[in-house]
Amino acid sequence: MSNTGIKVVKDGYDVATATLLQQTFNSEKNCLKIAAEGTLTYSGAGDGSVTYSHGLGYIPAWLAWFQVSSSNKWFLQGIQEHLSGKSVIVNARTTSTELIADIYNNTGSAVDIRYVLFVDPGN
Amino acid sequence: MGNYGIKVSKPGYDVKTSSPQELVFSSKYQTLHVHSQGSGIVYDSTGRTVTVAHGLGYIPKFLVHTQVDSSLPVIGSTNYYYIVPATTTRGGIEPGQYDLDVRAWADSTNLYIKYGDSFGYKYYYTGNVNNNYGYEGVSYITGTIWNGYFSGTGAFYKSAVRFQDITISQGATIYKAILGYYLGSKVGSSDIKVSSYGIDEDNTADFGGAPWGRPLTTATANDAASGNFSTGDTWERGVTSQLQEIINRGGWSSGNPVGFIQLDNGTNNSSSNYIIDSNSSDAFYGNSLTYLKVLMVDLLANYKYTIFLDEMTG
Repeated sequence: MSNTGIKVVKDGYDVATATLLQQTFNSEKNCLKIAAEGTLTYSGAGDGSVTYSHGLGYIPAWLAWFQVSSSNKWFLQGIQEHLSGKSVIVNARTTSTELIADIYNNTGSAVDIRYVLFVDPGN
Repeated sequence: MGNYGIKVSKPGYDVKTSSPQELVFSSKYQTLHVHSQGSGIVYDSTGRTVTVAHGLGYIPKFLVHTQVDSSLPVIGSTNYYYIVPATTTRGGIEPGQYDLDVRAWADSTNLYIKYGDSFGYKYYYTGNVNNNYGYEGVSYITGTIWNGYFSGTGAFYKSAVRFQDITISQGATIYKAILGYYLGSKVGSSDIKVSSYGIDEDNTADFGGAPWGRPLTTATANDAASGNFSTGDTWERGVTSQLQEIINRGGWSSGNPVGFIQLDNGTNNSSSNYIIDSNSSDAFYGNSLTYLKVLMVDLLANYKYTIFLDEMTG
């Protein structure tokens, strides 16, 4: 790694000698930048989907979590969560224009999906 | 993008003309801030749910990765880290596969990482093979398991089940082994009481002929299918010591079949109380719903977590 650019190190480290893992910022290494985040709500029962149009024109890196509304218990997406014999499955995916969360829900309650889309492409 | 704030471009790009994707940092865009990171090991014996206190007072965004022990090659690989949730897809686990069921969630006080009750177990099925099942009340019949008491014949029923291709080395230590029956029929409200034995043979033959005269393991266990069970439930019980005794046989060879026999142990005979487990199949994988699952080690997995300062819905 060349000795140019900007480096910021963690407390207690010397910026002149700190390794990458001891740095909190290095201008040669990309940071994931959040382009958009928000909450989608699926109020239906059974199979369905909700969509956010991001309009980036490419497939971004992303993260998503979900909760059964008002439960205040958030899961990373993709899981099948059983609630007293009832279940909810959330599988999110992205295209170059949208984030789509496919949902199976038989909980009788709405499901909230929290997404974070990054400026940075997913590949 | 407005020409304000701080921008840092990737090497080789002009910061004045770079697109957002060509910047490594821009004060216009929020980034995730790490609150804490950590790692640990989860064991079956110490509980399968890890609780990490974050003390934030609100629900944070988070990520979790899990590794399985190298002796548990989930999905054919070893020592890989998986992003949690990692789950076996609907319909069950393929023969010879290990269950993979890890989920994580956060509330305003803790991050939780939960390894499912069957995580790390390797599954063996009877397959839809009639001669891997046998029962006898008044006559010997294959293709079904029947235990308990049936007033229609006035008989107590005993059963046997056989699993093929058990890939466990001779003498290997088995941490846990569990036999699971899908209750295709459950009649009566009393417990169905059985004594479970292994068939003490190196390479037990199929049940084309009644297996009741075969040698039984010294190891045995008395179990009961609860009277509260219903049709469609799964009844699990431990057969660790029975399987260990078979695997310890000097003539045992990995890949051989194993068998288990369940004799009645005093089921209430004031009326019919019985279970039937047919070799009906799993709709997705086509396996029998009768299974033997084996956990070889206590250690389940290494895990790593990242808790962000950023609020889930902030």
